[in-house]
This record gives sequence, C-alpha cells and structure tokens, in this order.
Amino acid sequence: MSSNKSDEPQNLVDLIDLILSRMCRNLKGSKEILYNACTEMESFGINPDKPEPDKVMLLIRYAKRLKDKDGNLVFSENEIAQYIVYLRKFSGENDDD
Amino acid sequence: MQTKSVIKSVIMLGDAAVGKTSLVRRFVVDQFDDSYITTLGAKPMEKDIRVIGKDAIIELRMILWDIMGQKNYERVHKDMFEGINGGILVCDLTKPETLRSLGEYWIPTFFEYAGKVPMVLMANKVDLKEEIKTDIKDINALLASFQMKDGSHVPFYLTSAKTGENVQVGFEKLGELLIKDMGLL
Repeated sequence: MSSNKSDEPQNLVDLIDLILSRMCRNLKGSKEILYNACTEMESFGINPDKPEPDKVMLLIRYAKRLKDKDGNLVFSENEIAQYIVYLRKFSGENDDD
Repeated sequence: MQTKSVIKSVIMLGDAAVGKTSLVRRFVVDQFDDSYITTLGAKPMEKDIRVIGKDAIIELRMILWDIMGQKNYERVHKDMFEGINGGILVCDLTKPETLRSLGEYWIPTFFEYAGKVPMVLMANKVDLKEEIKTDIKDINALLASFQMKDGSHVPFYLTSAKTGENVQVGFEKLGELLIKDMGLL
C-alpha cells in the first residue's frame, strides 16, 4: 500500500511506524498480524508518544527473529541493519547488536 | 420474514484518550473502567445486533477494531483502514482540539483509504457537564463539510461511555447505515 510518508523515518515514532507497517506488508498483511505486532510493542513497554531507544531496540530484535508461516525470515539483514542505523541516528546512542 | 447474516468491520477513529476503548467496552460488555490504558494494537471485539431490513431480518455482526489514537502512526493507520466497512468517529467534548483533529486528520485519511463508507460521530464525555468546551455548532459545521457516498452527512450523538448515554443508539445507527449501504434497508 502506498503512503504519503517517505520511506526514510524522521524520528523514533516514525521508525516504529515504518517497522510495523513493513511487518504487516511482508507478512502479506492482515489486520490480525498488525494487531499482534502492536501487542508485541506493548509487551516491550514502548510508550507510543515518547518511545525510548532501548525499547525500540527490543522491537527491532523481535523483527529480526520474526519468521513467516514457511519459516522464512520476514526482514532481510539489510533491512534490520538499516533500522539500527536509524535508531542510532535518532537516539544518539550506540548499540552492540 | 427470512433472516440474513451479515458481518461488517467497523473501526474506532479519534485522538488518544477520547474514550474509544471505553465506548466499545460499554457497547459490547456494558462496562466502564475509569483507568486509562493506551491502546497499542487494534483490539477486535464483536457484537451482534438485529436490523429489520426491507425483505429480511438482518443479523449483523459488527467486528469492532479499536486502534491507537496517536496520529503519528500514519502508516499503521492506513494499513488498518483498508477494507473497513464503517467508522465510529470519537471526540472528547471537554477537548475541542479532538473535534478539529477529526476534520484535519481522521476523516480525510479514513475516506482516502477506506472510501466514503458509513460513519457515525460520538461526541463523548457528555457526563462531564461542567467541563464541556465544545459547541454543538462546531460539530455541525465540521460534519457539514464531509459527505458519505450516498451524499448524506455523518449523524452524531452526544455520548457517555461512563453512563452509557446514547452509546447503544449510536452503534445501532451505524448498523442501520451499514445495512442501508448494502441496499437491504
């Protein structure tokens, strides 16, 4: 689905929005999948208004491990690496993952 | 008269903390909880209502998607809006900015991705009489600028998830509009 938003996130909220949306699309999008992804966000303790970088990292790690029904990884290594670059950019912190 | 079963997906639209989750809880399980918990996922709940159609009694199952109200999650919202059959717009009568937000973000975005499907507006928290800061004229003015695909304007109700005032009526009105949209009413 097209979005008016650029594919380059501008802040942490935008990064989360991008990851959740990609997750939905990469899994051939159903609302249930999106719901599950958002529920994961809740379990990581992410505040949707002011997300903390270390908690966004938990979401990225979850995305990194996520597999589709055929056992294939949902996100490529490049996508995950790019998300970590964005996370560092917005948080100004380093992460060893 | 024969009976016909119909399933429709309905989404709750509006800013954070306007009472979307509470309205759904009041309608589905007839309960109210004062504590506020931010909705992160889109929690689907179901409720069956009965609508008398022109040729049949319609057993309508409404699947209610309650999404987070943070406007910055535009991509997530758009993914949720696709394929939805109807919407409940919600604003908080004590916060006029939540009405403006319906006109600036929620209605245009919803119309763009779901189409001009049936909608009802619930102007919520009418029980907080002393704190109401939204004028009915402003609600009418907002709704006058949006039309559903049959050319009609979005009906609105002054609701209270706390007392239950107009909650059932509002959801049932949307049910009627959904059946009418199918040409069965």
